[in-house]
Amino acid sequence: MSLLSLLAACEGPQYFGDTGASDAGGTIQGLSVEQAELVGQVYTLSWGTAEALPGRVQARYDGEIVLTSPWSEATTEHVVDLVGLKPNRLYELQVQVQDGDEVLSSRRIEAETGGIPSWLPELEVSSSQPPEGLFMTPVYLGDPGNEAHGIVLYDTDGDVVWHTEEASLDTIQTTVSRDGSQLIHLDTQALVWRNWRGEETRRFEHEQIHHSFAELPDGTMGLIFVHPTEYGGDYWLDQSMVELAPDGTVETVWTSSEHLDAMGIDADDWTDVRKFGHANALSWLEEEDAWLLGLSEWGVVVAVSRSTGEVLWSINTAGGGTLEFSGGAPWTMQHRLELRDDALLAYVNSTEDSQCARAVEVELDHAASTATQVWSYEGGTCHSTFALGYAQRLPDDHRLVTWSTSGVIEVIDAADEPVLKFATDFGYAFGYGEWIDRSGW
Amino acid sequence: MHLIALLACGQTSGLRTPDVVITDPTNYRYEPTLEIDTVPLRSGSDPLLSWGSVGMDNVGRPVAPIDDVDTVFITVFDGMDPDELTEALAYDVVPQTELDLFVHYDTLGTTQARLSDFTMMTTDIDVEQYFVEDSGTWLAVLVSETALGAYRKLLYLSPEDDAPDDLAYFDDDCSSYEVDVDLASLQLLEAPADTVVELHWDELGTDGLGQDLALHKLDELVVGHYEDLEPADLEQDFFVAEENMDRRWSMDVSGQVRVDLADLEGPDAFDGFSADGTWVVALRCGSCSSPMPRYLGIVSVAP
Repeated sequence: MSLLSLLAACEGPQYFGDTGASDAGGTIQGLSVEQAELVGQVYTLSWGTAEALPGRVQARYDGEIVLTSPWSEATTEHVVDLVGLKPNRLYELQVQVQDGDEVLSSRRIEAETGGIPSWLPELEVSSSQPPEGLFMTPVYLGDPGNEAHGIVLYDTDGDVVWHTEEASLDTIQTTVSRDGSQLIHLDTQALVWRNWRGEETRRFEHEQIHHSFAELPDGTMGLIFVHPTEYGGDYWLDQSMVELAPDGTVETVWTSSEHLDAMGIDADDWTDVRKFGHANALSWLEEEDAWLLGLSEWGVVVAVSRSTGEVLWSINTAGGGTLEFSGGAPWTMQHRLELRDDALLAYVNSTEDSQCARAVEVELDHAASTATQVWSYEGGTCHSTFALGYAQRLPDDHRLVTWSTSGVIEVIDAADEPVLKFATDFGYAFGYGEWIDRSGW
Repeated sequence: MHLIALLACGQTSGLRTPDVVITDPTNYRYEPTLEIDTVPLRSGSDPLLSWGSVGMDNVGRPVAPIDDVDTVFITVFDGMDPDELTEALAYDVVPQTELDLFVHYDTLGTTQARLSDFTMMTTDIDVEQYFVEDSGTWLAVLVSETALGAYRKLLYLSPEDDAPDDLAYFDDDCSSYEVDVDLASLQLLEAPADTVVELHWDELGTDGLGQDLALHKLDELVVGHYEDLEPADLEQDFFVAEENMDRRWSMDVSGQVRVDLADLEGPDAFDGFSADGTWVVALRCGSCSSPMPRYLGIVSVAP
């Protein structure tokens, strides 16, 4: 690399290409370090080894190791996108390979991360030993005149370690792909795959895509479609669960208008039926191989068999589902569902009794055909979240609650004590904000 | 080889340009005063908002209602009364957590709209059904997308059972924003004469209100020269201080905390601070609602 090319590198992303030299006595060859053009906090390191060996990257700041990628599978061609570096910092990056019992290290390479755009919010952060991880969330700047929308990864200090502005108001949900190689997010009438360098790698467009999605282990995507349906001689907004196979095939699994009775919706009551159910939360139940779907306007949660398309069970918080709901007022708006060991975690924006949002847990007893709300958390105030909202279980009985339009991401411990709180300045809202286990990267 | 790269990027001492470091004591201070009228409107109505007669914004800049008002938004705060909200707006500390409702209307050249025309993130929520007495503090704001200080006019809408009208007019007097600027107490920013310097602000931690500042919010650097005006003159008529610059340079500094002033763009190449007149350095936040720079310093030029 010439001096001229190094000078040019100062104008854009930093790139320290293959020097032709080798490291660790020749075991590490052709080490290349490249700053992502679209995400100034991400560096991609690539190198080769003559034999297939596990590899990883460490980052030091002020001499201390601050970030270590997990060991890769043994390979001869190593590529690591290092995610988790803070903006505007000078790090030392070092590649390691494991050769038998010996860990061989490359020389340390200095790499400075880029800054972040001014449209991102200022965060007020309070923290006391939260679970280590990253928080990925869509961010909406509602400050009129300066609207911008994006996806952000925050570390537990509230520092932005990844961001993209390639998003819209419809980017309600974003998640990491099961293989960890990229993130998947909604966009306007589209589902988008984006690598850690910020580059879009795949896009599935459909005018009926709505609100939420989930990925299966084989790469099949579950999606919610919204579409007009003729019913009783009239048209109303219906919703379906569809599957997008890896080969691009789209198949409808279930349509709500065909299963009203199973959800306790009175098909003869036009007030109920015509009200858009507003399906907005989709996840996959591994044990049952079923889709779990929330229909917000109806206060309904339903589990649908992937193989038969039949309703396995349903909760109608206003009454009438296959599981009888009790322990709380009927939900009038809800988002995000997570079911584990017959305990349903949900974000409830409002109930018939209150406009104050809360995260709730509902215990399911299929033998007794009951669904009992046993836990509720309102965040010590009245969060009037008029849109979105998210709740997620974290390690050690911690829970994440994203009070979306209140601009607050909160982690509470098993005793419901806050251990982490991000609060934005005025004008910002969060989308479906998800905690990511950093150890898996 | 990497050492060469760092030298080339000016990150180590040696051949690089001199540094001027912005610190908190070099930042100006100001005290804002915001006043917003309240208009009583009939509770349960679908009030009509009109902004066609507005000719001047909060700080006295001209506004053309058709061309300059791009959006009108309405917020509802249940936990804050108008006095509390006005104070929070003035000091740029409105808590998002207290926001109960946000709807907006893209004007598309119109100068009036019913409350029922407003949507939440493009979804029609029939917001007029919530416009009833004791439903919270309703604030309507006229917005220009391109203006520094996007909030051009503000007006409280008060739903009251005994109010006869459902018409709300924005006019030149419905809101005002004034500042008492102090450019005398700050520590001067020292720079060598006629030398292009590198400017750093990574140590800046507070803004002109004395409040915490996130560095990534700073996206524009402005350097200005006044041949005859003194800092005391700028204090007197602050909102036209930038227009009154005899020479003005600027640059996009998004994501940066240090820049080489040779990269400034202006009437001619910036070749350093001269010993004559008054020099100011300002850092702005283009995505913020306040028209005030987050940082403003006065340069003391060493001969």
